[in-house]
Amino acid sequence: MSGRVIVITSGKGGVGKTTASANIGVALANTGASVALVDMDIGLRNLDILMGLENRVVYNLVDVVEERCKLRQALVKDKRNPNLSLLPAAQTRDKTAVNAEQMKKLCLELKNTFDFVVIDCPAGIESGFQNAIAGAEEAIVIVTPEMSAVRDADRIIGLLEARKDEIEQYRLVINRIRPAMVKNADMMSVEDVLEILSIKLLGVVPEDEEIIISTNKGEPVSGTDNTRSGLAFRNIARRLRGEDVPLMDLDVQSETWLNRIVKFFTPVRV
Amino acid sequence: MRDMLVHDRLELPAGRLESLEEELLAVVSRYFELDKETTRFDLQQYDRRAALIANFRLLRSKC
Repeated sequence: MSGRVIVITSGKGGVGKTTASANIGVALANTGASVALVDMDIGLRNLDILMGLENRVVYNLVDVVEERCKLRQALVKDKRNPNLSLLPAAQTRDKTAVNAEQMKKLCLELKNTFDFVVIDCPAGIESGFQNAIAGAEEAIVIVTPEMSAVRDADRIIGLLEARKDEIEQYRLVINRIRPAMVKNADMMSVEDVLEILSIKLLGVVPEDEEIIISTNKGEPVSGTDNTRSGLAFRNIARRLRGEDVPLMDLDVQSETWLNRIVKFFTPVRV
Repeated sequence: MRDMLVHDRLELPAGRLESLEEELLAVVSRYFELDKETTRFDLQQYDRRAALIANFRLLRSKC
């Protein structure tokens, strides 16, 4: 039994790789799979914060690779779900601390223990990225619906295409979409992005303030029932497991006449 | 945006495509009288690949 090694990448920074890694990891673990989350942003670690595990980090990925500890000593078990473990990045080193061969060896060890190995890739296209994808067989490209993110995603896809023999499949997640802005033609639509990037779509996640709250609390949204972004990530996890889940209806709720009357009579606070 | 990405993917510096188009026009013009006004060059995207489509309206051949 061998697990699936999936790298979450984007090119552009700040589009939601770490958020997606945490949420997809949690959602997968909640379907019953065993999941290892790997933070490959060496020197700028954040996955531990998003998971609320920053106080539990003893050893990290570089310690494992440099053989100062065993892998199981470095893996931090999630507070909420024992199926889920985090391999933290080092905070005091940088992306030269690990090489591709070491990463491949690590991924091999991880896939023999876990159903899913979800790797949070750093931004960029240099060695940090190259090492993060070294052991992966699948990739999820995160993009936000705006020109610079799409351009960077396109570059990343080009780099992934060049490794078709190792990375067998790569799919797109469009993150932070704002349906109202799309409707107003102020933001690219899902179709616009897909037409340009031309790769398979894995899912779409709406912009959601709850993400900020969840990051501060260290509780990924996909672990609770009450958010739209959480539902989107849970759907993505189900699709990863082979289920055919239709895309969420992201249409803007149309204003009812009652809403409009209430708005008219409500004093605006300045 | 699509155009920009096709240029990105092909690593085309500014002006390079125009140079190519001028040369293509010159070559075809050696063989045919062309209706220069209607000559069209299009860089199109097919999946993630680009295709350069050139359209020359031929008037008569030059011998």
